[in-house]
Amino acid sequence: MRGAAFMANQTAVVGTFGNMEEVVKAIRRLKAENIPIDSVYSPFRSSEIREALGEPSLGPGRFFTLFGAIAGIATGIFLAAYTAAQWRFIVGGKYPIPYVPTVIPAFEFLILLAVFFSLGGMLWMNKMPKRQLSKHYDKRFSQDLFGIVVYCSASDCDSIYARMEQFGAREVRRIE
Amino acid sequence: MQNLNRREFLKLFGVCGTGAVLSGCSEPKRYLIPYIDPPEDVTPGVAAYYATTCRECPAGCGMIAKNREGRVIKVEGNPAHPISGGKLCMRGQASLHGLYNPDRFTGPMRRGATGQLEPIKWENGQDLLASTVNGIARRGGTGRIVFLTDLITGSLEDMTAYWLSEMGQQNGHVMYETYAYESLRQANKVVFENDAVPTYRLDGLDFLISFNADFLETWISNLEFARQFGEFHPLKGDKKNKFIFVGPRLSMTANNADLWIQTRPGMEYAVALGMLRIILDGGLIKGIPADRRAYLGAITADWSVEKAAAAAGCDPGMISAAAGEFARAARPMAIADGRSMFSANATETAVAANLLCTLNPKSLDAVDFGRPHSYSKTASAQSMKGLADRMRAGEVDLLLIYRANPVFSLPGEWDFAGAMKSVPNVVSFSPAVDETSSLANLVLPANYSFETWGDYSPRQGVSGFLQPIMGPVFNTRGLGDILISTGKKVKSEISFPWRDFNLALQGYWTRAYKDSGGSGTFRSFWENLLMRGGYWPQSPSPSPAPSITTTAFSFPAPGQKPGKGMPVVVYPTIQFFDGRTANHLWVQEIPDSMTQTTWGGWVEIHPETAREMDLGKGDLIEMKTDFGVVEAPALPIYTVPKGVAAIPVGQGHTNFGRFADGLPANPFKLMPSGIDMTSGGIGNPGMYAAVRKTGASFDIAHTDGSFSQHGRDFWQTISLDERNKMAANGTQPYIDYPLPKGYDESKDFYPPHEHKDYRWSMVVDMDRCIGCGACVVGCYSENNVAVVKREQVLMGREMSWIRVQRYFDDETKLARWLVMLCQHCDNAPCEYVCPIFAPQHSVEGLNNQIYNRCFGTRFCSQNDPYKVRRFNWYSFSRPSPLKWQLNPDVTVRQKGIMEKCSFCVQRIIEAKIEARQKGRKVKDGDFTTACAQTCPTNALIFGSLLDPESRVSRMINDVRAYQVLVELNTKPAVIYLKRVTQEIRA
Amino acid sequence: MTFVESNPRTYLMESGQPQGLTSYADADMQIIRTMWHPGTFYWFCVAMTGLGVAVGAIAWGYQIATGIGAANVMHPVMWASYLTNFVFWVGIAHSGTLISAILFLFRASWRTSVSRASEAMTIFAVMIAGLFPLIHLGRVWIVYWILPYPNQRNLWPNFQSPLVFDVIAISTYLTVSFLFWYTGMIPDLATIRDRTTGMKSRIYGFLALGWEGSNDYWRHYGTAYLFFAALATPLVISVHSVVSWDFALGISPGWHSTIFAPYFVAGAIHSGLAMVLVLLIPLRKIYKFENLLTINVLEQIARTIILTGLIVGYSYAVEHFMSVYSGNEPERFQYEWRMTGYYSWLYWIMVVCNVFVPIALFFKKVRTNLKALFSIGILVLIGMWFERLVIIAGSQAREYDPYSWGVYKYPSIVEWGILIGSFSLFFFLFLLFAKFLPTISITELKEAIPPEEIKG
Repeated sequence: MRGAAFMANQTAVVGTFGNMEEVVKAIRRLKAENIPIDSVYSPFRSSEIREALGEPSLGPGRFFTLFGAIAGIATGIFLAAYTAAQWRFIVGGKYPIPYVPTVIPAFEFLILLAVFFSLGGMLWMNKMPKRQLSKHYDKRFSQDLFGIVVYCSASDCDSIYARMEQFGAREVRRIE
Repeated sequence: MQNLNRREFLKLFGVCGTGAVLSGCSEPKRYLIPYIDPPEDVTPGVAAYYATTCRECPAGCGMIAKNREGRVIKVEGNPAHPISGGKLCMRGQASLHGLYNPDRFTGPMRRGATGQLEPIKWENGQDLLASTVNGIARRGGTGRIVFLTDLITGSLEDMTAYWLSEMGQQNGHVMYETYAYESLRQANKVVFENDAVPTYRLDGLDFLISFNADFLETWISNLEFARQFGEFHPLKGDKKNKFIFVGPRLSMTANNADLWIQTRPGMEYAVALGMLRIILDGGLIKGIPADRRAYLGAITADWSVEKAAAAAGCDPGMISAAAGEFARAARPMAIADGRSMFSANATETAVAANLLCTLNPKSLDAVDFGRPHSYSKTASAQSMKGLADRMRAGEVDLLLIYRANPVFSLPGEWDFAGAMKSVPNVVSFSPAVDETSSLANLVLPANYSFETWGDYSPRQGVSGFLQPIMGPVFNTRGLGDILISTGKKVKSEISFPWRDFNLALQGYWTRAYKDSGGSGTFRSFWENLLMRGGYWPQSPSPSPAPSITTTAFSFPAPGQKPGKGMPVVVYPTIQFFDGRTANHLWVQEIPDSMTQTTWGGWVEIHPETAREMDLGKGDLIEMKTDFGVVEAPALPIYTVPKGVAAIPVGQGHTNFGRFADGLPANPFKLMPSGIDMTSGGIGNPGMYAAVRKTGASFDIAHTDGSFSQHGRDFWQTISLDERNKMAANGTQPYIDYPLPKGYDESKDFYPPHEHKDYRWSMVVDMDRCIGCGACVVGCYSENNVAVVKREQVLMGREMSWIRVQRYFDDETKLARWLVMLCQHCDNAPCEYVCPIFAPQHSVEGLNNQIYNRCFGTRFCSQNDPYKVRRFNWYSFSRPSPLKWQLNPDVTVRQKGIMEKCSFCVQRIIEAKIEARQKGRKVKDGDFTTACAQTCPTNALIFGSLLDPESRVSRMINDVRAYQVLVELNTKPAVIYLKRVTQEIRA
Repeated sequence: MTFVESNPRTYLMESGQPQGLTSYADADMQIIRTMWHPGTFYWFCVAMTGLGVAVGAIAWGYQIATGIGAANVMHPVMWASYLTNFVFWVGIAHSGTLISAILFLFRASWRTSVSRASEAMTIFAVMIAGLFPLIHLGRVWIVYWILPYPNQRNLWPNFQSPLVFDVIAISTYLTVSFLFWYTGMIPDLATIRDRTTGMKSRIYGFLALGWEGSNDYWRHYGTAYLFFAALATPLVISVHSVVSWDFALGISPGWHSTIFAPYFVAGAIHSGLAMVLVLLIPLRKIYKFENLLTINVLEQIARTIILTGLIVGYSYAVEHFMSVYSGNEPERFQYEWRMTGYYSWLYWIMVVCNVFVPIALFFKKVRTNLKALFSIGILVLIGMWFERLVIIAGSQAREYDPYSWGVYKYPSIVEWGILIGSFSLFFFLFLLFAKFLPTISITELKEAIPPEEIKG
């Protein structure tokens, strides 16, 4: 949750929407009025919402993947070469530290570590796993409803509340 | 002590003393405590070597037995011995399985009221024997006691005769050997006035023709002949002597010939007579005295070469070719089998062969009647039949048996077992149960040859010694000791004054000591005898040539009618001799040279005949002759001509222990029952059998995957002319050297690697290999290779590290052998596929297999093009006491592990330690592998390629050198030399 | 089928799937409904497959106690049914990730309804495949020596061995497939968490790792999922290539061939798709998923089977051509023997089932007939199993040295037990999966519902 830590005591207005069209429309209108949207809940991944929010399609997780991939190649080559160097056995008349067969461990470790890092990146950035769901969350958001969370100060809470209703929210809640 | 190097001398030196009569061997204990009173000559971890004599057949080869911690673990030939010369055949090496046979009699037994043998005490057993003998002696009469033994000589023969005479018996000692060579002896009597089996010397010949004599397998003294054949036949310089085999079956011996003249069974003599006729008619040999010419001319009058060829069923051109070769040779020789049980007209064939020998005086140099073989003492078939008749008539009160097994090997129709039932007392001294001993009502088991004192003389002038290499495995006693102590009970201390048989033996040899001129004390003479393994005067004086008679002899006229049914060839094999080794695991497990079959008998039938008769491999067929019937599985194979069946002897035991029983089939049961009154042998008019398919089957456990090598150049031959041409040109063979110099940029991806100090390698000279399989048994006994038995061989799971592969030539259908073992490749395909480095390359070039590292993916075997790796499908066990044979220097492999030839790495290490103690490197010839050690023809040569002077380094550049599957670029360190072929033309 | 379309929804509409869903809650309901109260027949199936697993375990235990001799492998055919099963199950494993990852990258719409089940299939199949190298080991109790872990002997595995490649590839594949499957399931687990109460909710909540479907979550999730798919795709190709190198890096005639990697990958997908058909057709019927797993989805799978079947057929032909063209006598003999020798009946069954039977799928009538599809799936599976046996056992039976030729005659009772055990374990795990986890991705299904169909 962006800013959740220092805005812990702030009030949030959560608007609930019934379908995609409504929520996208609401996002556009909130943005048009320069009301900062904290987050948008949806039961599934939606490119419409992403586009409406103006977010890039790829997150920073890609750098985790890149790092994992490079680390994987290094690990694979190092493991194959280092272990062979321990005894320098000759097998099949080959040089004790042959280079061709290091390709396979390098490739497989590339994939493995890249996947580990991608997953790790996703979990880290989402602060997962976590024990407590945030208080803005509504169980129906994973089922059939959409939600928009907007933080407000004491002064503009009422107006944002009204805007939500005006933009088509089926239900608007104020959460301290 | 000729040919005895220092190392062997030191080994033999350990023998001085009284041998190793050790305590505590009969009960395996489970804790390791050092000896408080160490037995003499036993140092834990250090082997002691004792000279002794092989008693597996009458050939009497000298052996060196290796003793570790009180147990015999390996036998090898005694290099000083004139017969074995350091080599040993398959049967000799397997003698350890006779010693450790789990079905040996464990102690004295008598037949109780229930009819079962029940254990008794030695004292009681001997009292029983003494009182029986006493009773017979009191009743009087001679011939009431018959002592039936196998061929024994020297002190034991003397003792037996003395014992019988003390008991008031004359001529009671009958020495029964299945092969008594009655026909050979008769032929020698006819031609040379000598009723004996002479000593033959094949090594000095330049031409040999054998009339069905399988001298490389069982004939008289097969190991000695194999050694001599190794001198006679292989390529020497640019020459190769010629050898022709005449006979109905492609035996192992026949397959070593340059020409196999295939004849009708029993018609070999026609070829000899045809040859005689051609030589006489053409005047091919000069200087034959006129009277002999006339004599021979009369004999061969009817035998024009066409008639002879028609009678023999062969091409006349072959007879004239053989005659031409015989005549051209400077020292030719003809030998004949002379065992009438195996062939009709055995006497005629042997006479004809002898007549050929009379043509050239030089031939007779190779036949020595001055040193007759002890076979000459054995009882003829006629006298055995007489014995059976006497027993049946109630003329025998006591039959004593020692190692002879006539119930198994006499013709079935004589019913020797039935005759034994008429003898009130049958006592067996045989060490192990067999068909004859199992009928005894008192069993007083004698020691095996490794546990006893004794001597054995295979021929005049050669006496081998036996000494206890270890304490008795079971509760047994030496036969001599049993005779002495019962003698004391029956008679008195005065008649039998010796404390034990050892003293009697020393007494016996005191005479020889006196004859030898008596330099030094008897003690030193005696110790020297024991150390050398026997007594053979250094320079035998030449015997006079035998006189040649002109006794009239008539040959059956050409064109006799064959009998009804399918002609049957019964033949002995190198494994089983006459069946006496069938309870030895190794000889059962190791495939027969020609058929590559293990564990069980078979009937060889030509594949085309089999197709005509609708017989497939393993179809059980019934063979019925006029005298008996056997059932055995059919084996379609090219070793017999079309329309002929062949059955090996040795199998078909019914009461010979767990390893021999129940396997088909015993062809002695088919034997003709008549007697040939002139020779005293079995009267064999030729065997013809009615063949019937029973509908059942008995799967043949064989190890060959194909008859043909499918053009893959595993075995390669080169003609003598081509070889000489190439050698003259200085042609270099194409070899991928398993050395850095074998690196070739065009096909090697990785750089070459160096070796440290040694690069072990083997050269296999296929021109010398006779296919006998001695190397295989040597390997089994040295390396604790497991015996898997029939069911597992059927699954293809035999464990052999080295094998003598047999292929048939696609055109000639003659067999070719290839000794296949781990090639210790420099670029070994098996190594890199192992995920955990269980196999890898040592700095000395060995392809090491680390057993405790292996977890059994079996990829190495999959990727091994030579298929020499063997997997332990189970933890193969060895019933006690067979496990006592295990070599403590070699790991016993557990289930789930791959194993293979290690080039006897334990011997390499031992040799390196010894060399280091001497402050030098291992020299060529310091040691060799177990297989190479025992090869009778020295076909296997082991050494290091880093030593430029070693034999292997010199031999790998021979023009005949090649590597198997060289196109795979594995750079094998086993390099083969092509077999040299030569054509014999008219 | 076209892969270039970027918006999945357009041709979801074209292909008309899923059908009959008018709200997102319907999607939840239809899938979550399958997870409770499965009925006695289900439990009967679980018990039977459980029994089969026990049979396999006993057979394996017996083999460990006595030795590999309990199987009918022999010299020279040292590998037979166990490694056939290994390659077969690795092959089965391939389609799951192929459908999930490759079709995800290609935006193939029909992926949605089959991806979860086929990913599960992948994981179970890899798990079972991974067991077979252990089962076939002579001394399985020291199998950990193959792992690159520091040890006091300082002995490491041999990274030149194809078997070590195998270990790395298969374990990577299992790990990656599992993570791919699990990551894709987190939003669904959150849905179930939110639809249940009490213990169930807590268990699924634990597995959902605290998922909340906000836009940040979805973006990081989307990035990770995309890279998962992008990494899994070459992995799929590499894994079966590595498996094929178990043979191709050996020098035996019949094994040593550069065609093996693509040939094995195609074969793997072939068998994997067949297994997808065999699993989904009953699943569809039992769970009444006709509206989600439309006939169109099955048709798409069938069309892909035609493609893989043709590739496999082409590979067979090329192998035979190369064996003659190369002039390598043992190689030529090997392929001739394959057609005429001891295993020739397996060979011809293999050719017919893998190459000729799928040709029937060119006909729309066959493609849309469930019984025909199911039967063809079974036949292809049989054909592919035989293909592996023919390659593995057949090649070893006729190697370089004619003296050492021999045949593996038939599987022993222990091998049958283990074969039964392996199939039982697969279906056992799949049954548990079908009961306890959503068999179709709920979120993706929701994504695929055309918004205009949503009422209310």
